[in-house]
Amino acid sequence: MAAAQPSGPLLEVADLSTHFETSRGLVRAVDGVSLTLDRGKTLGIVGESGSGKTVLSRSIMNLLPKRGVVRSGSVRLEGNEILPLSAKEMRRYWGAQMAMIFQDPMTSLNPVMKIGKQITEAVRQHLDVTRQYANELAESLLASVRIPEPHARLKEYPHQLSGGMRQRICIAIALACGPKLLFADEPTTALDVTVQAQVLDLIAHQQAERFMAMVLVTHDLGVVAGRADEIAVMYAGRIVEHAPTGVLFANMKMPYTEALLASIPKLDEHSHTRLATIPGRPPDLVIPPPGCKFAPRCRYVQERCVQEEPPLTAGAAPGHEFRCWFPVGTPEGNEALARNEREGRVPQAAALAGHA
Amino acid sequence: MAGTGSIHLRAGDGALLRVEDLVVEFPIGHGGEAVHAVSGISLDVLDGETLGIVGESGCGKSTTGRAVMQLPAPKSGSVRFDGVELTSLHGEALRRVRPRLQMIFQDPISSLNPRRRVREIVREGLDIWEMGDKDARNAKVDEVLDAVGMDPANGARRPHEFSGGQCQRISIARAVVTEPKLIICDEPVSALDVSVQAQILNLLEDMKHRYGLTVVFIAHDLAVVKNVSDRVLVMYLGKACEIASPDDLYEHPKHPYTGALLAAIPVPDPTQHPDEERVLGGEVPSPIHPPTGCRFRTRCPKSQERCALEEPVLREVEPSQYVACHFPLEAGEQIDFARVGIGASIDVASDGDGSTP
Repeated sequence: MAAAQPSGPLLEVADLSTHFETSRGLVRAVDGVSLTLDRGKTLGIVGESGSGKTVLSRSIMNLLPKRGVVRSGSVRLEGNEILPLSAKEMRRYWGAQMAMIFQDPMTSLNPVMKIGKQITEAVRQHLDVTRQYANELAESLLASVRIPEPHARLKEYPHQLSGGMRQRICIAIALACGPKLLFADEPTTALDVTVQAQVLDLIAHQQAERFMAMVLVTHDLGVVAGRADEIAVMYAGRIVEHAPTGVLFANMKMPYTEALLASIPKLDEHSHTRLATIPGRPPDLVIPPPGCKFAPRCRYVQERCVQEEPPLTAGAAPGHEFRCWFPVGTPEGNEALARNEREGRVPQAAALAGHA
Repeated sequence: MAGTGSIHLRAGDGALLRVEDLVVEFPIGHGGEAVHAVSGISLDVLDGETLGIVGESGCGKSTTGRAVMQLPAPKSGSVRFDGVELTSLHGEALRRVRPRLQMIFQDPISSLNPRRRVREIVREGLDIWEMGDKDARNAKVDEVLDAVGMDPANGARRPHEFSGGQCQRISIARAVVTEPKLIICDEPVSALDVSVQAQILNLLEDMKHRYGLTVVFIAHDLAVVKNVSDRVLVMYLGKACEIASPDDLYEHPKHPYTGALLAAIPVPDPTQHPDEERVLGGEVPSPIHPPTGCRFRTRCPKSQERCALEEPVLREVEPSQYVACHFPLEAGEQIDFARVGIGASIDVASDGDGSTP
C-alpha cells in the first residue's frame, strides 16, 4: 500500500463513465460523474431504479462483469489511481481499503459456510494473524454489531438468522479488515422500518468509531436526510444535483429533486392526501433524449430544455451544483412554471401516460 | 400487546367484512408444536372503507389477509363477508365467492405469469366466470387497462417487458376486472421506488372510487398506510395492539409499539436527527413460544410484572381509539427504548418462553 496522504480527499472520482455493450447498443449507465469524499464523511447517492446509482458504486469498486463493460475516467483512492487495476490487483483494496454492504442480506451470504468462517476469510487473507486471533476478532465484531451470543453465532449458518441479523453479519464482514471507505447499497431496503432504523444507527456508530467514509446509496431521500453530510441526486447516469445535506433540503434547485421529495408520503399530512407523482419513467439509456434527460417528465420544461443539455452549474451556497436551465425557486424557474400552467403545457411523459 | 377482544367492532350491518377471533396456526414437526401466526384477531371493514394493517415482518398481517381469503382456511374464528360465513363454505360454494374477493401481492413481477400476455392475464378471471361474450370481455379488459394507465395496445406484450410499477398496474387491472367488492392488498408498494409508489397509491385511490371498492391494505410502512386508510390496525406477533383512525393514531399513539413504529420512520428533513433512544431494539420473539401475557412485553420499556401475567384486552381509551395495553402512553409521552437492550430482551424472552404454564 502506498503511504497514506493524510491531506487531500480520500476518494476522488473524475469524469467516470461506465457503458455496457448490449445487443441494442451502448447503455450509458454512468455518464461523466465526478465527486470527492473526505475521510469520515458520508455521501448519500439518491435516485430511482435505473438511475445508475448502483453501477456508480460498483464502478468505483471495480465490481463489474469482466466482459462488455467500458469504463473511462479516473478513480483515485488516497491519491492512487485505481481505475486501470485488474481484478487481481484490486484484491488488496477490496475488504482492506474499501468494502460493500449489499441490498439483500438473504442472498449476499454464502448459505453453506458458517458465519464465523465468512468473517475470518477476509481477515486471514489481508491481515497476518493466527486462526485463533481471527476467530476472536470475528467474535468481537459480532458483538460490536450487537448480535446476541456472538460466540454461539460463529458456528451457525445464515439461514438460522433473521433478515436484520443477516444484514448485521454483512456489516461485520464489511468492517472486518477496517476499510477506510464503505459502500452501503440500499442496505435497508429489504428490511422493516424498525430494523432499518437499528441497522442505520449501527452503521453510523461504527462509522464514527472507525473514522470511516461511507457512500450510502438509496432511493429514499428520507433515509439519507438525517445521516449524510452531502447528497448527490442521480438521474439517467448523471449527477443532476449535489450539495451539502442542509443546503439541498433548504434550497433545492433541480426539479427532479423537488419531485422525488414530494412523492414521499408524509406523516403530518392527513390520510387520503393525493401524492405528487413524477409522470412517466426514466429514459432509455441506449437512446437518451437530447437536451436535459429529465425534460420529458419535468413540470418546468421549456423549449430550451429539450434542445440543449444544461451543464453542472454552481449554486449560491458552497458545494452546491445542479443541472437545470430553470431552477426551482429562481425567477426563471417560477416564470417557466407559471408559463406552463398558463399554457396548459404538461410534461411529455404525462401526456403519453394518459392520466398520471 | 397483546390483545384479544372485539370491543372495537362496530354494531350494525354496515360491515362488508367482519372477522372475529381469527386464529391461524401452522403445525411444525411431529411434537404437536405450532407457529402461532395469528392468535385471536377481530376486525371489521365497512362498505367503501380502507382498513390499514401495519406491523413488522412476522406479525401475522399477511396471514390475516390470506385467512380472510381462506388461503388457507383459519384454524378457528369467523370470517363474514357480505353476509356469508366464509369458514363454513367449501369447494364450489367458496369458489363462487372468490371473484368478489381479490388480492394484490407484494412482488408485481413474480405474481404475473411470465409466459402469458398482459391481455390474457387480465382477462383470465372473466374467461373463468364466463362474464359476457367474447367482445364484452375484450371491451372490459380494454377499459380496465385504460383505467390503470396502461395503453391497451400493449396488451399483447408479456410481463417481463414492463417495469415493476407497470406490472403492479397490471396486477391491479387483473384484480378489478371481475368487479370485486373487496380487495386485499398485501404490501403492494414495498417493492417499488418512492416515485412509483406514489403513482400506485394514487391509482389505488382512483380505482377505489371508480369501482366502489372496499380495501384491506397491509404494509409495514406507517406513512404509506396513513395515506390510504380510514382506520388502522397495528399488529404484533399475531395480536392486535391498537385500532384507531389514522389521524388519532399518528397524533397520539397509545400503544408503546405504535410509538416505536412511528419513531422508526425516516423523516426527509435533515434538521430532525434520528433519535436512537426512540428506536425499538431487539427482534420479534419466536411465534412458536410467544411470550406470556402481553406479547410485546419483552421489548417494551414500560413492561411490569402484570404484563407477563395478564394479557391486556382491547379497550376504548379515547373515542374510537382502542388499545390493548395495561399502561398506555399518556399524551405527549416519549418512550425511551434505550432501556431495553437486546440482551435484556433475550433473557426475558427465554424466561417466558413456553416454560411458564
